[in-house]
Amino acid sequence: MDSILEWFNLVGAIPLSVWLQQMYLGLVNSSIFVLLALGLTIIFGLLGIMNFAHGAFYMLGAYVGWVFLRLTGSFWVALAIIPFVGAGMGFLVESYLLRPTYNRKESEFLGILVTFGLGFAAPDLVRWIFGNLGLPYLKPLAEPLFMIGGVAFSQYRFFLILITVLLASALWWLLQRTDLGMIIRAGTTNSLMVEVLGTDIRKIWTFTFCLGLAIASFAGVLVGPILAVQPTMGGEILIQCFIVVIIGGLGSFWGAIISGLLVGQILTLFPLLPHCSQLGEIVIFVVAAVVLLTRPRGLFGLE
Amino acid sequence: MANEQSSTGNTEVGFGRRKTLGAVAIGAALLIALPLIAKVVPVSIPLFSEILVFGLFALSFNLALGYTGVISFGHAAFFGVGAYVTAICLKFFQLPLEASMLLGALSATATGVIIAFLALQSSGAYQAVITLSMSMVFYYIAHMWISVTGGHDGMTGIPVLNLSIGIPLTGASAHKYYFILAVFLLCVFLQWRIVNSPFGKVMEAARENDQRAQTCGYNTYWVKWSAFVLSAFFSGVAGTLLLVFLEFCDVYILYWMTSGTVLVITLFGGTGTFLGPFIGALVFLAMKDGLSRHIEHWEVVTGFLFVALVLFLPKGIMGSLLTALAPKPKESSLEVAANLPEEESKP
Repeated sequence: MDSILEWFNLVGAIPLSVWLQQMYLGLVNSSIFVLLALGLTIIFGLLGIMNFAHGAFYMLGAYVGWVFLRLTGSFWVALAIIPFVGAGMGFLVESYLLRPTYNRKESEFLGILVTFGLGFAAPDLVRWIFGNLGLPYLKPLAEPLFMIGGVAFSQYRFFLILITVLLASALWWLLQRTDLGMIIRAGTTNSLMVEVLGTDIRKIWTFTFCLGLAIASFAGVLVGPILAVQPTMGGEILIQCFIVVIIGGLGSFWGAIISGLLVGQILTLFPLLPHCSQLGEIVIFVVAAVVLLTRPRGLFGLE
Repeated sequence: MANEQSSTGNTEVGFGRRKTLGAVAIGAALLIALPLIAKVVPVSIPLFSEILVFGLFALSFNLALGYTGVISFGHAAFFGVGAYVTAICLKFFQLPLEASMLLGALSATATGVIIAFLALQSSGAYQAVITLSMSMVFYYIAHMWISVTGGHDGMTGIPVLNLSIGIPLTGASAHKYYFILAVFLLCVFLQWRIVNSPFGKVMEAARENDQRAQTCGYNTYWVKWSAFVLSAFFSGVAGTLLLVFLEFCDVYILYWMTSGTVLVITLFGGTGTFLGPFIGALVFLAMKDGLSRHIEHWEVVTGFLFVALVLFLPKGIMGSLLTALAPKPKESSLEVAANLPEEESKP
């Protein structure tokens, strides 16, 4: 009993500014989850493929971005180029590796397996080329944005959160307010009907896959300055992104955003509590299990 | 893959029960004679012990994937729980090896019961992601509970393994190999009996056409559930054998890549056949052994090879081999109609 009281005393002793800063860092984590989960969720919604290589492309984005950073010397140029590189990789993978699996009866499995093979090979490929050690990224916007109670809030992290909000809004606009978005939404509901109506759904599939990978590789470069860029970075975040889309509901736009925020905060705030350094990792699984037991298709998933 | 809907339909594509039994007998004889063969031909006994362990793991995994079509990315949990619980019983409770192994396998079964309830709520991609996520809970537990599991460094200090009848199982001894082989053969025999029992036929019926099996009066949910739990039990046994083999617990065996590896092995061999997964383990581990000796980054080769395999040989090594060898069955017009490429449709 005493130890529990002591624990609460320790929690109470954490100053508010530290909580605020941790929540700010949590928003940064959430942003990454939202970006990756949105890609996962739109790819799944339309193509019916759970992309097990999503983390690998996030990691490849960070590495290729580093190459561009070295070549051009500017982080911003690398950040601007990388979505096109990601989309290019997506185009190659979708056209040559995933398309042959669409006509099969077991398409759902085959697609998963192809992306799994790519996700398996990618970290070792990167290790082969760049070595096992992490890569250093130059940090742009290094000055703190503002200070609260002696705790700094970094300018770059603010930029990261801002650009995530902008990107998510742009994606929402694309899906809800444009003709292309209408076709994507229609294809998510019934792709055969869209094809019957005279739209080449295959092009839409390719486009969606490229879009998802463009966002994933963009996220990879975005985190370059603040997280360790190493071959295993994709494998670990992939599982957490899966949790995000399970909680939110596969194929759901708002589900990905809200559960991305939730999971990011859980993972960042729990380490602040004494003796709970890795508890957040387990708590998100517990949340996912509870959600699945009550709503098998996730919070916002279609029944 | 799992929904192998070949014209013959059953699991032994053009390969009778008797022939399979013959192949098993020859294979078993070779495996039993291996320590003798090793004196003449340079084959590595530890490599074959590893093949037996992962072969059993893949065969157990196939009970779920191949026979009932349940796709699990979480079998690392059963494998790892089996190994860790055995290690904990040996190290902290000084239980005899047999009792520890039994407790390890039973704990894996209990884990399977929990995960089966969550996994069978859905199918396809959801199932894959749910099983994967649930299995990662055990990875994080092993990672955090450093005082017992050793955390990231793995669990060491496991006492010397001894059978109760006084036979030591240490190092690369033939005793150890024979012990692993004996448990392996026992489990394979049990699995063979299960898949060839009436229950096994219902498992396949539930995979081929769930609705029709239900109409016939079978509760397919419980059939799949039981198959999943059996699969977890045998995976747990494979895990305890891994501990006997390694005499050490690596936290990596609970990582999701282990689930991926067993999936790769199973598909390498082919899910449509009983012995395919074992052939997969044989080829995969021999390839890994050979490649990793010459190429440092063998995972790249394996990953791309796996992609090629999925695209060009979706039935796996064994499945493709048997299809090529089998005499072409006469196709009735009904079966021809059933084999027409299905109209492309996405959920």
